[in-house]
Amino acid sequence: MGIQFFLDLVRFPFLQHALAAGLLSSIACGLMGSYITVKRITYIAGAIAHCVLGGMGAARYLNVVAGFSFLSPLHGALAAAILAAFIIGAVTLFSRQRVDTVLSAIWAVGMALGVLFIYMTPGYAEDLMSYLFGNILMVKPDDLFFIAVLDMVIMSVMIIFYNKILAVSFDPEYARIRGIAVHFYSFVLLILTALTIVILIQVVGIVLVIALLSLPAATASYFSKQLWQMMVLSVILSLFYIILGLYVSYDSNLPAGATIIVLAGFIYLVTIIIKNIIKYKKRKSTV
Amino acid sequence: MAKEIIRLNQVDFIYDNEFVLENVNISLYRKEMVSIIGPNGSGKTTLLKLILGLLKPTKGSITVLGQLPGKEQQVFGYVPQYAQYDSLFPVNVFDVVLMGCLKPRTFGMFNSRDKNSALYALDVVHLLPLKNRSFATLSGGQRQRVLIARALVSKPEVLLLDEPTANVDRKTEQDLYVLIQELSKIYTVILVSHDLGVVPKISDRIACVNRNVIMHLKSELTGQSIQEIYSCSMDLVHHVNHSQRKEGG
Repeated sequence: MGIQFFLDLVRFPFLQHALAAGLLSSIACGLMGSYITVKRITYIAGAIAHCVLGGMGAARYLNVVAGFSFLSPLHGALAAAILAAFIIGAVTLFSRQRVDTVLSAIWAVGMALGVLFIYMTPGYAEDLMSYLFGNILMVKPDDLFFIAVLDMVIMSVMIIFYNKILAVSFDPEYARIRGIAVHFYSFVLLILTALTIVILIQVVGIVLVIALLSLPAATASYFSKQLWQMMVLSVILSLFYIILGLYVSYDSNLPAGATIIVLAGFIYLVTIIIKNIIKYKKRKSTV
Repeated sequence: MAKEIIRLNQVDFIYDNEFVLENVNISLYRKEMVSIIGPNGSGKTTLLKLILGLLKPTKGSITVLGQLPGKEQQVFGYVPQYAQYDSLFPVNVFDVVLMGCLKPRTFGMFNSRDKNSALYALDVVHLLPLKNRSFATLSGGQRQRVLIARALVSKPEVLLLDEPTANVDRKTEQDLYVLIQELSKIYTVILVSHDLGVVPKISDRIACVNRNVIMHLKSELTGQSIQEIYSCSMDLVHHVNHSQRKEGG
């Protein structure tokens, strides 16, 4: 490994944008990843992430075929993610449907719509393919502004409503008895999760986004006694994985998204192994 | 006469076109200890949730201090059934107890008064030395004490305990009943329990639930009345030592 990454970082704006995207997205990733991990709803994040392809495909179709030139795939992704979050929220909170069936339907139908729109739209859908597996090197200054605004919103919500979010996540029934609007907070957090997914899709892509949301938080959970500790550590780990993944992939000419996830998965695995060895040694010494 | 705190008037609750509770008429008074007994699926927890305002009656009315349930959150300290908690959730004992101080207008950090109340509640349940421990690492009995502290911290009028001794060993069960008896001197206590040996000893009145609710004074509860509720033969064993408990069935 060399210093080429650092030399190019000074020279090329696209690399500076990528680094800034990694820095900013790790805040949203760590905070919302901790929430979805403790709530055990990573499958909801998976359904939202995959159905986003439908929105992207529709936006691109409307842009190319119907002449809505102001629409970009990112707009479609935002609309699809928020719509999916609303449907999932309504089903999980109010309906007596089988939640896993509805999630599978949203997951698969969203992707199928995406594929159909890509098929019906003339030309090669290169930009949509980059969203499937992500390309942090293609992040634009406008995207950075969007990520920064979302970071501010998520951090504000987490700081102002931390105690309520903790109670709603740990024991929603008790929170309701204390007069907390549990459904409202659940919806807000689901929408923020959807927006975070749209950000992370630009970093690691639709297919890998669940891993980037859950792996740093899962690793952080091994070292945290409180939710806020898990959130802070998860932000630091996300940042470390994204920057290290970017550096390794750039120097080795590998895809950045996949490199980031392999690093996160490897460190998670090592953490589990070390924790279990320590536990085993402790148990052995007490026998 | 003691002040009426809770009144259920001709209350029906129907779920999936089936009566869970039918024509319930009961009143609960300040500083009394009422236990709710009945077989599984008889409507005990539904009765508790109706009082808490978590469920709405299909017919009839419920008032808590003259208001609709759910309007007065400060009235109740609720201890739910133990089994609901995620053992991997990253939260410590002090934070769980502080949840009892939550109000709809709580923003940002808890104030020092809330923190002092939480410390006092932990002291009442004899768990102050464990305040920084992870909730996940506590034993079943310790967890129940933490949840009781959480219920106490808001200085409630009524303490509702939903099977607080489920999933704990005999010694812990005995300790919890001692604590509940101590608390019943200060608070109105509503206890849901299956422990027919202990309930008549510690309660002022017993609500026997099996779609209807029949109130008994503790002296009125006999093997015959329990048999009517449980629809099977049941021995009522009053015992001093829990190790001598005779399981009914």
